[in-house]
Parts: sequence; structure tokens; C-alpha cells
Amino acid sequence: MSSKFSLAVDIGGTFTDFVLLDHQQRVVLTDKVLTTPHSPERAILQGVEKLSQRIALDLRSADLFLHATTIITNAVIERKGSDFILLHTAGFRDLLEIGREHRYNLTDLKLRFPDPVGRRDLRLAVDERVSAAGEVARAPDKAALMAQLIALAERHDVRSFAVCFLHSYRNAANEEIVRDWIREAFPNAYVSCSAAVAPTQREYERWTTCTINAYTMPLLADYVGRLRLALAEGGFAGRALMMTSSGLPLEFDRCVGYPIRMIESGPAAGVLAAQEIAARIDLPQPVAGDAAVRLSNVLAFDMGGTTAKGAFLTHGAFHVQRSLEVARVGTFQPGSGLPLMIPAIDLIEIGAGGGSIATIDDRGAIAVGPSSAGADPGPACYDRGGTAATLTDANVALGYLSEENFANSGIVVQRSRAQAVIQSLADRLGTSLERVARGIRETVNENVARAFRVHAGELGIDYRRYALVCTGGSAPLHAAEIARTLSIKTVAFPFGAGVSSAFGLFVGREGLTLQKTNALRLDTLPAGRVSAEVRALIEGDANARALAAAGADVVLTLGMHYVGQGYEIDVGIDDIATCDSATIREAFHRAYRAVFGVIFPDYVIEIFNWTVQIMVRDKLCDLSRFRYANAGTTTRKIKAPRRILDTGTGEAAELAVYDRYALRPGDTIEGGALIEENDTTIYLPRFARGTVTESFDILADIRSRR
Amino acid sequence: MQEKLDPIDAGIIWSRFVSIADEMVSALVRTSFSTMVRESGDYSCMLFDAKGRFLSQGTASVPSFTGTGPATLSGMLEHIPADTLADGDVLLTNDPWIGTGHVYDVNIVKPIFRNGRLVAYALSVSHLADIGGIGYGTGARDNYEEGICIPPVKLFVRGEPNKFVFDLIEANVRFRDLVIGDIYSNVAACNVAAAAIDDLLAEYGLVDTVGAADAIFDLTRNAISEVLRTLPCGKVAGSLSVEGVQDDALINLAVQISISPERFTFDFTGTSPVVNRGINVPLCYTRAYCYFTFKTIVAPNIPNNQAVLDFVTIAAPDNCILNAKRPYATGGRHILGHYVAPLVFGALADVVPMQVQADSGMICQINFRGRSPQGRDYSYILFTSGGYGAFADLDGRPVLPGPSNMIGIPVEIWEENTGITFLRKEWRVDSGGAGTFQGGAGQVVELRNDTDAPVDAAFFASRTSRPARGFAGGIDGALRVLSLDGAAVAPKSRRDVTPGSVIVLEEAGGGGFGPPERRTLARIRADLDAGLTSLEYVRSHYPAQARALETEMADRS
Repeated sequence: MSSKFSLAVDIGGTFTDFVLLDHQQRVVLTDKVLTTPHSPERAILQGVEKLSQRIALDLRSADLFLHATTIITNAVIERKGSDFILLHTAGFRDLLEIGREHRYNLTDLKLRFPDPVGRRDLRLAVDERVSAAGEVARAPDKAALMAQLIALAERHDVRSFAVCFLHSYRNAANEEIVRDWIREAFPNAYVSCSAAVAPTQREYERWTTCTINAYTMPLLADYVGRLRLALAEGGFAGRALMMTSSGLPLEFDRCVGYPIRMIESGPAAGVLAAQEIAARIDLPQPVAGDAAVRLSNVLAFDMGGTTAKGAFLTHGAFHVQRSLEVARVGTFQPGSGLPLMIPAIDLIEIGAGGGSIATIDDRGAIAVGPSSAGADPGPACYDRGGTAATLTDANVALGYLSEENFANSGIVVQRSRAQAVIQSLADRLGTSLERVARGIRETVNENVARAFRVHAGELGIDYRRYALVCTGGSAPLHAAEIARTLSIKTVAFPFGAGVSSAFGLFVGREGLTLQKTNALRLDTLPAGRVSAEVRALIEGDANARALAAAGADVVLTLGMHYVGQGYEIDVGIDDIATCDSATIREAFHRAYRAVFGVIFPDYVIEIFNWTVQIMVRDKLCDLSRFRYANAGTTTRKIKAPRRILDTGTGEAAELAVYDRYALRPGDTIEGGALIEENDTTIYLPRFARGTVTESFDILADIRSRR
Repeated sequence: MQEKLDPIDAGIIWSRFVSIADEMVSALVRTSFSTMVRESGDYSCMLFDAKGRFLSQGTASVPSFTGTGPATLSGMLEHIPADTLADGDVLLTNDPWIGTGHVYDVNIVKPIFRNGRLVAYALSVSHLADIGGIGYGTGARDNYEEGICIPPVKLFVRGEPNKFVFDLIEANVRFRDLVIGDIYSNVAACNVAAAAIDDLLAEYGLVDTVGAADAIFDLTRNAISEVLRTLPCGKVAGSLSVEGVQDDALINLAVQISISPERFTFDFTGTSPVVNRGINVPLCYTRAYCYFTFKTIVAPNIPNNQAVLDFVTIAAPDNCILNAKRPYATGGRHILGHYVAPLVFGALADVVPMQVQADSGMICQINFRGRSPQGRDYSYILFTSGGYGAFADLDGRPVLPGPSNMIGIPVEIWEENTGITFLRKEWRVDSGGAGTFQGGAGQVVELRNDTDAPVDAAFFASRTSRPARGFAGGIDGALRVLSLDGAAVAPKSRRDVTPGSVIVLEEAGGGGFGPPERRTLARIRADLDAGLTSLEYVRSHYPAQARALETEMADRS
């Protein structure tokens, strides 16, 4: 049967987004419904219903169901996971509470820290030990251990287990034998072993990752079961895949053992969307050979209601990091959350969005975010009880956002409410409403730019050579100014930016990412060792084995350092089969010099971390010949002009206002303009000039300040 | 951009200065060769304006270095005047009285030039694996024994390395790779700052950092003055008796603090004199902890800068132990220097009861020198934290450093690099001081030398005869106990740890806050459930609540 539809669904905190591909018409449809937190699959069915009113959608004729969800992240933040028994190396009972013995804020002495997941009375010390070199110094005793374990499990009726031993990343034998004993005693048990979940050095981080996996595994298994049932009832008989944090989707059944891999699935899909959008944009005539790299080096910038996110794509590829933090208690402060050692698309997250609240801080200056008015009560201009001034209020007060355009997305706003709350801040600062509103915008722009700058520094990236691709409802209003602050010359405003994560699900390459710590010195590295290590890593994972057997691509990135250093820089290996110590050494020195400006030719180099991506050659869907259903559907390009205050100069200016749905490829828009769509507004300042591309995206040139 | 920056612009540029210092920290940590820097956070990065005024610090920096930094820069510029500096120069010193109070920290300064004009300075500081002499410890009789002291010198001249200085250092230190590598990581951090400052000035059309600094300092002064106006004026005093080199050689620390809307003045008259071992504290280090406590009380959420520090003045008699002069030995100056924080909190307990913290169990340091299982010679510090002191409204957290802020090294990284095995690392049950809010528990750490050669261990321990004090009726925390193969170890001593020998550290508990009678049943029950306290502890410190709990349990069963 030739398929007719593919459906992608991204469940976010407020909205569940849908993107539907109609393969026969070659049309992309987008839609949204409110999320139903208690049974997320209900919103999915509602959305399918809503779409089928627009088009003859029948799940029986759908070949693909693609999914991204916040269910795992929310379970960790809201502590809605399941009880599990933690088996740990004897002598380290309190390791998860002790953590790294560090105050993440130097002068705020009364700090809060996140509690580990899981109950302290469900911990069991195991008399075992693996040495730092990976030798089994003491094997666990089956009879003694299992007697205690079975009693504990029976007493509390718990069938979920986390096995966390020291140095298991070097040798997992003790963890594996205990796992087998548990399966023998409880055939239906959920078991997470730290070396299988996160085979990397640093016990606090690895054990924390493993416990969160154990904590959420029953929940994911249950959710996937219900979702499968709901889809089956609708007649769906195609393949169903879920996006992982590392940007590679996996079939549902292959996900359930590793819920932590799903923790950033929505944002990961969003980065893929930016990647696809950058690739589809037909550049204007290349300028001095610059254009060839312009849109392959991309800074994917997303800003919605509460957070902004950024990810760098270099030569079209995203960076995969080895760890991230969830459930931060100290409002975005690094160190205040639970660390997860998992492969994840490298994203920087900032507490800045339309709902971010502006205050006058202890310095007497304006601060915006990270606290947010959220969707409820929302910004003051929504007039739903919100009394705090938000970024959206500043944008409404200044006139960037209009009451009329909000009405298009079904929200009633009152500009007078926005002006009132901003005026009260202005009174306290002894300045004008306009100055404060501009200050709020500028502060957010700076916060976002600064986070990107620091993050680029960590990655050793010269961000000025990147193009900004902006998605999410709030980003297009700020992207041009942020780009200018960063000396970025090009900004892309994609069509359909409001549901970008769902869109990005289609362009993932099915696969998975394996990571491992395995220290090998380059000076004694035998030829062929690297490819042997990669083969062994793939052999050790059933999913990876299956994908590789089917001919998937294998991409290797080595985390390397000089012996003695504790942090690695990523070195991509082009040819795994032929690489040797000389080529790897050269690649390392090239990368090290690029980041730090110096190398140490006579120091010994070590390969430390291994990242192997195994992915199917083709994307799940080829979107190159699809068009958006609502692009170019209206005819009146220009709406009434609007007077606003320019953020940069503070002078009043008259802005032209355009209807995006009326713009056609080849149209140009001079800066000093607003372009309105249903759920977002683009601001092109006077230093920007936009061109509509064949794909209906808008590409803007930003004139630099110097 | 307008001539005079308004508060909104100043706020934005201020944030940028902080983020530049954060970028420096990132480069430093990622390139460092020693576990003290990369795992335990023994470093600081700072920016200064063209006049040498302190602009910002990395968010993750230890308190002491942040306080010593401004004097470090001015001390270096006294030796090498600003008008003799050129683009590409990099300065270095480890002089304890100019730098951070002991020779083991290297201070690297880079003057930042733009269009031929000196526009700012970057400073990066980190603890080196070695600096020669008898090695890191408290045993030296004078500063000359402690290692090579390098007065301010140009490490790079117009971008070219000063070969003599590098040769001098290489000729004097053990672990040359670790030391030279770490000096370079400080230079890398400064280079990052130089590029970022150039971008910032271009973007805002500024000629240098001075105008922005003025605007930021104005904002800072206003904010702090507002807080100071709410405090009662007057004088308070405090004193504290702490262990010297030996448990029974007590040292008295005394402070008088005068508070006015214009400033805090700290006077350490009455403090005991210097001793002939390496626990003396140069004034720069004492001053650093005055800054730190002032800031935690008055302005915890304002990024640190010169205008904050200018509210503090300090006086201490020459050669009292908190103002040691050359050539007294200062290797372990932090042991006593850290006490400035609890000394000040104690003195201010009645003035700002909500802001002060009961005493913390503090950090124990052991500097290990040996040969790793891979055959590498090493010198690494193990930092282990005691319990955190309680507040008027918050329990002290178990196993958290205060006032210093080192980071615990992962067991797996420590064992791999040293061959010293952790047999145990767990909460020390019942070690926190009782109180309405309870002091944090310490931890028990057991270490075994699993290499085949003796390891040299230098101990820097406190709270072995003087516990972390409880405040406002709260009870003291448990004392720190150190042993080697079952026999007591003197808190500031150096020992050979033979293969197979076991060190046990029982880390000190933090002090409680408020009378124990007022601790709620819910908190007591939660601690019992978590295994943080035993029923015996509850019975002895919270007898009334214990009876209520036991009645409750009897009713339930």
C-alpha cells in the first residue's frame, strides 16, 4: 500500500504541536492543541481529529508516527517517577547526597540543592569492588546479596532496580552479574546498570544518571504502551519512533530501556529543524565566496514563552555533548541541578522568553527572567491576573506586537495593561516608560547574546561566522538585534517557525549514539586499535548491532586531552579504518590550537572519551519538494504603518507592517519593518534587509556596527 | 553611544564583564593539568579597568583569591609600572605578599591593549602542583624553605616567552609538565579575556573600560549604601580560640568591627602573634575574607567589584598571626585565614542574625606526593569537606564547604591518578550540632595506599580541638578526628603513608543555630528516616521531642 501521510507530534509544556505531511499533495500542514498533562496521548488524538477536519486524514494510511515529549523531564522535575532499589558499592551509601561538595553560588550562603531521586530506605550496600584499572578486586556474593535484596523488594513491593558500582565504566562485570541475578529472581524487573546507561568516569554523575533512568523506566514503558494502543485503535499500522536527546530517533521499543535518552527530545528535534531549514534556503548570489559557508554554519536560536535555547551547527552538523543538567533548583544556575551523563545535542538554555518577568534587581538595574509569568496568568497585557511586567508587555507597550495580531491567534491583549505595569517600573527608576521598555528588550537581547558567547567559547567557536536561524514564537522579534550584538551577518526567519520541533522530527536519521570512557595513550597506540574499539562498542549494544548490520553510517568523535588534563576536546575522525596515532595526533593538535591558541608538542596525548553515532544514511522523510499549505495565500502585502521607538537609538520611527502570508519569493523588505504571522512577528531594524526565498523563508542581511 | 552610561546600559555592560570572566574560567579549567584546578576549583579569574580597578570575577571562583586580586594587580604594577607595559606582555608573580598569601599560587596578569591604548587588565590565579622547596605543607620555619618566590616579572615580552623565567621555574620545580602546563592555562584564560574586551569596546564604541567602570561602581555604591543605612551603627567585637600547629597550642583571633553607613572597619588588635611554622597569614589573605563576609552579609546578589571592596577597611598589628610579614612561613595560611569568616559572623550575630552562619566544620586538606600506578610522579591535594553551619532559618547541609569553596574530586579520578583507594566515603552520622536548625554532618573517609611505595602526606586540618560553634543557643558540631593505621595524626603534620596503610578522616560537623528545644518533630523525624542521626543522638540532644516521637511510635504499633 502506498502511504499517504506522515505525522509528527511534539508535546511541550503548554502546546502539543503537529506537523502533517500529505505525500500525494506534497503539502505540509501545521496545527496545535493544548497539552493534556495527565494523559498526553489524549492531546494527540485531539490534534489528529482537528487535522482531519482540514484534510482527509486517516491514520490507517499513515506510514510514520514521530514523537518528541517532555514526559521524562517533567517526571524528574515534578518527582513523579517510581520507587526503585539502589544497589551500590559498600561504603558509599550517601554518594548521591554528598555530590561534589560545592556551593554553586559563592556569596549566597543559603543555597538549595536538588534531592536525588529515589528513597533512602531502598538502598542496599553490596560488598564488591572493581579497581581503577578495571580489575575485579572483589566479586559480590550471590547468596548473601540476594537474600537481602529479595527481602527488601518483597517488603516494599518494588520491582525496579538501579545497580551502581565504582569503576564499572572500566569493567562492568560486577554490575552485570548482579543484573542477571535480579532478572533470575524477578523476570519482569526493570533493571538499570550504571555502566550500561552512562559508561563514563565520575561516579556521582554516572550514578545519578542511572538512578534517574531507573526512576522513569516504568513510566515510559507505561506511556509507550498506552500510546501504541491509542494509535492502534485509530488504525495506525506504520512505524513509530521517538526522538532522543542526541538528535537520532529510535523505534519506540528500543527507547523503553533508556528513558533518560529522551530527556531533551523536543529541543533536539528543534535543532534538526534549524538544520533542515538552513539547508533548504536558496542563498542569494554568493558574495565574495562567503555564502558557501554561511548557512552551513548555523546558530539555531529558539525562544518561546519561558526559555530561549541555542545550538551551534558547524558545517551543517550539530555538536553532541556528553552531559547536561536537569531539574535545577537555583533558576538556571549551573551546578544547581542533577547531572546526566548522556549524549545530547549541545544546547544552551537561558531563562528568557516572552513571559520572562522584568524587575529592578539588587544592583538597581533592570533584570529580566529567569522567572516567568508562564501561560497562566501570563503577561499583564493578557489581563488574566498577571501584574508583573514581562518581555511581551514591553513589546506590546512599544508597539512591536499589536493587539490585532494577537487576536489572529485567539488571544485578547490590552496595550494599556502593558503600559501600566511598565510605567510602574519606570516610576521606581525615575525614567520614562519607553526607556524601561527598551531596557527590558535590550537586557533580554544581551542575556541571550551573552549566553551564546560563553557557550561558543566553551566549544571554541567563532560565532561571527555563523548564521542565526530563529524559531519559536518570541525569537523573530529579537533575532536581528541579537545577531548584530554578536557580529552575525545573516538571520533566517523560517516559515512555520512556531512548530519547528515537530517539523524537525521528520528530518532525523534513525540511529543511536554510544559513548564510553576508555583511556588510551597515543604514544603506545597500536595500528588498528581504534577501529577494533569501535567494533567492540557496536557489538556490545543490540540496537547498534542491528543498525550497523543494516548498513548504517558510523561516525566517530574522540574526546582527547594531554595526559593530566581532566577535560577533553572533540576530535572528529574521518576514516576509522585507516586512522593511526600520527593522524589522530595531528587532528588533536589542530583542534587544540584552534580552541586555546597553544599546543605542547612534547606532552603525551590521550584518547579518553569515545562517541560513536550509528545512523541510517537517509533522513526519515525527504521534505525537499514539499510546500506549506498556507504560504502565499493572501494578497495584501502591506498593513497600516506603526510608530514605535527604535531599540537602538530610542528615537521614534515609523515602521512598515507586512502580512507574511502575502509575501512571495523574491520580495525584499527594507529594515524598519514588522512582518506579522499568526503566532509570531518579525522585527527588521533599520540595519537589516530581508529577502523572501523560494522556500518562503526570509533571509536578512545585518549591517555590522563596525 | 552616549558619553555617560545610564544605569540600563551600565547594567548590560556589567553583565558582559561578568561573562568575560566566566569565559576565562572555562578556558582555565579546560586546559589545566592539575586536579586541584580542574576538579577542585582552586582558582580565580578577574577583570580590571584601565586604572586597575576590579571590574568582575568569574562566577565560580574561590573567595580568597577574589579578595587578594586587586592588591595583586597594584602590587605587580608597583614593580612594573603601567607605562612600561606593551601589547603582548604577560606578568607573573607568586610572591605571597603580593599574590595570594603563599608561594604555591601563580598569579598571571595580562594588560589588554586596543589601538595602542591600555584598556583593561585580566588576572588569572591557580594553585600549582609544586613550586620547589620542601613542598606544600605547614612545616617550614620561614618563607625561604617553602619554595622559589618569583617577584613580579614579564613572563612574555610583546608576545615572546621570556625564556629565562621559564627556565628558572623548570629548574626549581618538581612535576615540570604539570607546572608549566598550568602556567600556560592561566595565560590562555587571559588571552580569552583580551579578545572579548576588544569585541565589547568595538560594539559599544568605547575607548576603554573606565567610563563603564564608573557607571557600574556608581550603581554598586548606591545599592550597598541602601543596605548599610538599614544596619545599626556602632561597634561589635568577637574572638575565637583555635588550634595552632599542635592541638594544645591555642591561638586567639580577635576582631572589632565598626559599622557606619559609609563603611565596615575590621580591626584585628588582640590577635595572637606569628609562629615559626607555615600557618601565618599575610594581610592580603585576611583582607580577602573580610571582603567575603562583608559581601555575603550586605550584598550576596550583587556581582563583586571594586566599589563593593571600597566599603571595607582593615587594620591588624604587624606580625600578629593575621598580618604576618616577610619572611614568616605562610604555606598553610588558609587554615587560620578561613577562621576570619566565623570570627566575623560571631561578632555580628546580634546585629544581623538572619545573615550570619553558625560555624562550619570546614575543609580538611591533605597534600599527597607519590607515584601513580601508571608511573607518573604527582602532587595532588585531596579536599574533604566537613558539615555546613546552620542559619537562623535553615539547617546546615551535610558535607559542604564553608567559607572556602573547593570541589570534591570524584573517587574514580582520584584513585586512577594516585593509586590511593577510597574504602569509604559516607555521612558521619550524629556529627552535626543540634539546634532549632541543625548543623550539617561531616563525613567519614577511609583511604588506603594501594601503591607499592610510601606516599608523602601533608595534613592541613582544623577543628581538631576546637569545634564548630553553635549560634544563638545551638550546639557545637563534632570535632575532626584524623588517624593513620588507628593512631592519631597531628592536624598540621607530614607523614609517610606506607603501602597498605589506612588513613581515616572523620570530618567535623557544623554548628547548630537556635535552642534545640525548638527543633520541630518533622525535622527530627526526617533526619532519623534519612539515617543522618541516630535515636541515641535524638534522645540526648532533643529529649522532649524524643519522648513525643517514642509515644507516637508506641501508639502506631
